Amino acid sequence: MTPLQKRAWLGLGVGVGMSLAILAVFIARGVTSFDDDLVLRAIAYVLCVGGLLVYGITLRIKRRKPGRSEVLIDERDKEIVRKATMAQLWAVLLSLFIWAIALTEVYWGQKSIPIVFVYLIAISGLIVSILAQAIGILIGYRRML
Amino acid sequence: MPKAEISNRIRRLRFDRGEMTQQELADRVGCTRQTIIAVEAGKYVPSLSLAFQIARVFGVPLEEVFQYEE
Repeated sequence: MTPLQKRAWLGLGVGVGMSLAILAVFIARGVTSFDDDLVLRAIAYVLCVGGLLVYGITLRIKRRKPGRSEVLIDERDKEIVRKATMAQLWAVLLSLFIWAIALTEVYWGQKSIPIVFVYLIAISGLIVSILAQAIGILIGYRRML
Repeated sequence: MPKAEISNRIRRLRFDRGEMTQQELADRVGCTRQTIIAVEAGKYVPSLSLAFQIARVFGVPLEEVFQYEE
């Protein structure tokens, strides 16, 4: 397994972990209480920032076996990342499009959208971004290996 | 436009050069072993730069390593 594949699996783990944790927190404390519940917002912030920090710090750690000088990333890896980044961009755009249309349709009659959804759009954009790149990289390796 | 395939003789050339391993070839051209595996299997078409480096390692012209077939 290449370092990039390990990174993709990590991204998948962080993305799924963050999704489940945030979902669990919102279910446990109730989505409707978001406006008044500072603890819920704090937990959600910590989960988002914590997840990103874990992901970011781990990306910085280069695992090179002692005594070996082989190349870790080459042109094929860069090509896979380039394609995965395009998939990531489209996935985030699609998620934003779906959120916008769905919220507009659901809250059309009320002429206003609850503020919690702005927060959820931001979190979901982040998670979709991490997941899409990770899945794109893993699919890229399946096709090119 | 007909679909073009790029095949290669890297595996044959490696064995002709004293059973050079994929890792040895990767180290000499500056890529990962996985990329050599992918190129040999025809799953990945290398850049011109990498293709020339591979041919240079074997000491043969590019056309002896890679073949373009329509």
